[in-house]
Amino acid sequence: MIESIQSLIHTVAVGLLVLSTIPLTMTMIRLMSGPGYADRFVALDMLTGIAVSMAALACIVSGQREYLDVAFGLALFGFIGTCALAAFLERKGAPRK
Amino acid sequence: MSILFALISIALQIVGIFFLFAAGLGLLRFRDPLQRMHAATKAGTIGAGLILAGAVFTVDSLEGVIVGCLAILFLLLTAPVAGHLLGRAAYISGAPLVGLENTDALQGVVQRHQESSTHRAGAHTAATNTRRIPAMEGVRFAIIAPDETVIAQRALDIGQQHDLPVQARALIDRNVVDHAASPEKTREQIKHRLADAIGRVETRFAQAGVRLSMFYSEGDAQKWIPSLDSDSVLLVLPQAGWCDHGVAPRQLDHDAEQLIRLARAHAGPCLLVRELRPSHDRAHVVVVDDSTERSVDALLWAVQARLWPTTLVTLAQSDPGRVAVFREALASIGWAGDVHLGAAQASTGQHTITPPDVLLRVAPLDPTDDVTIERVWVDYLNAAAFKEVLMFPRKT
Repeated sequence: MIESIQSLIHTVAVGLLVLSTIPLTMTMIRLMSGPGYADRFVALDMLTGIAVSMAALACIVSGQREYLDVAFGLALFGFIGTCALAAFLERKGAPRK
Repeated sequence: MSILFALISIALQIVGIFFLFAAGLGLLRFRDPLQRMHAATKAGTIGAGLILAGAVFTVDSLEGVIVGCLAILFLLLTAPVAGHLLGRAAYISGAPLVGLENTDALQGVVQRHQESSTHRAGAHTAATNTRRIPAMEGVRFAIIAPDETVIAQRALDIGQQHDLPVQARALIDRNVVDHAASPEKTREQIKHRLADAIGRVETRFAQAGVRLSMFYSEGDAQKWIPSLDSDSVLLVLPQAGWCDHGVAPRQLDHDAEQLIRLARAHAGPCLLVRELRPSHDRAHVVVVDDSTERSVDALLWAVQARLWPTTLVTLAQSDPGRVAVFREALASIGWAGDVHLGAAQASTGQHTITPPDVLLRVAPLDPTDDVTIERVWVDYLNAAAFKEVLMFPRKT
């Protein structure tokens, strides 16, 4: 019973890991098409979220809890990155000459 | 691991992926950066959080549970901060606000850069000056009761002519309120007058089917009415009246002086309108020549912006050599008309064939001239010599 549950969780996690490429692709399309900086930065922020979920799914698939540390680190750096990009965007928009 | 935990974990993961999918879809389909952010930050965070929770239910070590819970907590704590920063930055950088249904509530509160042309779909240029004055990208006018209709109509016409966004600024001058004998009563009176005027303007725009973004505040008109940083906005002002909206006793000189100060604080060109001209009527434009390129640029800008159909330009305070300069510049943009030298004083139009009805001049160069020049301007406005006066900023 336990064995079958374990394998079920494993299978589901692998399936979801594959499925998570769909939002990943959508985000990548937005990241590439833009059209403004703001859109790209929003997409980048979203990308961090997807990376965190993928790390969590990888933790389930591999059974190694270190992946949770990876997820934590990714969330941390994603946040700092977003803050930095936002600061950049705020200053960058100076009127064109 | 119990079966219950396993089932919870699976359910959480599936719901999490669903939210991520929704976030991705929103990111892809929504129309402006702020809407996309709405999808990405909210649905994205909850999706990632749920999947992390699902992972926490499968780990059997305590550290794993702690780290996982910390990660979820961290995500939930940082999402609003990051979203706020990004949203603010997007707004300030001039990201398009397609989904905005009503007026922009942050207008005048947060300084916003002009939308860059890469952001705009059908980027249009109303007037392209090859020289130093940028094309007109918007029209702004002040609602000054009781004679607000002329100004509103002129702004509406220009906005329609060039398909430009039109903004209205309705201000209650706090100075007037504070110095009145009974501030509360005066404020009420001003409010009523202004509300009536705003109603009339909004009706007019609704009839014309033109979208109007309205900004309403009480405070310093010098701060809120002019655009201090954007030189591509045309400001339309009356030649008389002030932001007390007719409640305080009339002081022609004071009003004209205040209006001129508004025009000079504005970073872009400013049109002071007395009365509406028939749109097909050819204007006789008097240019006060300051002997610099700026005067030429200003006239080129006005011709290209098609503010008035004009074939007759008189140069005031100029010399014969300048006539050729103006003719050449105007010929370079394909304008056919006559430029000739007028009287020494712009305010006297006796030497010309038709009385001049439009005056164009660049703001004075030397700040020490300000007092005398402003004096002259106040006299111009009070003399009712020109139907429209276009004032140009000295530098962009």
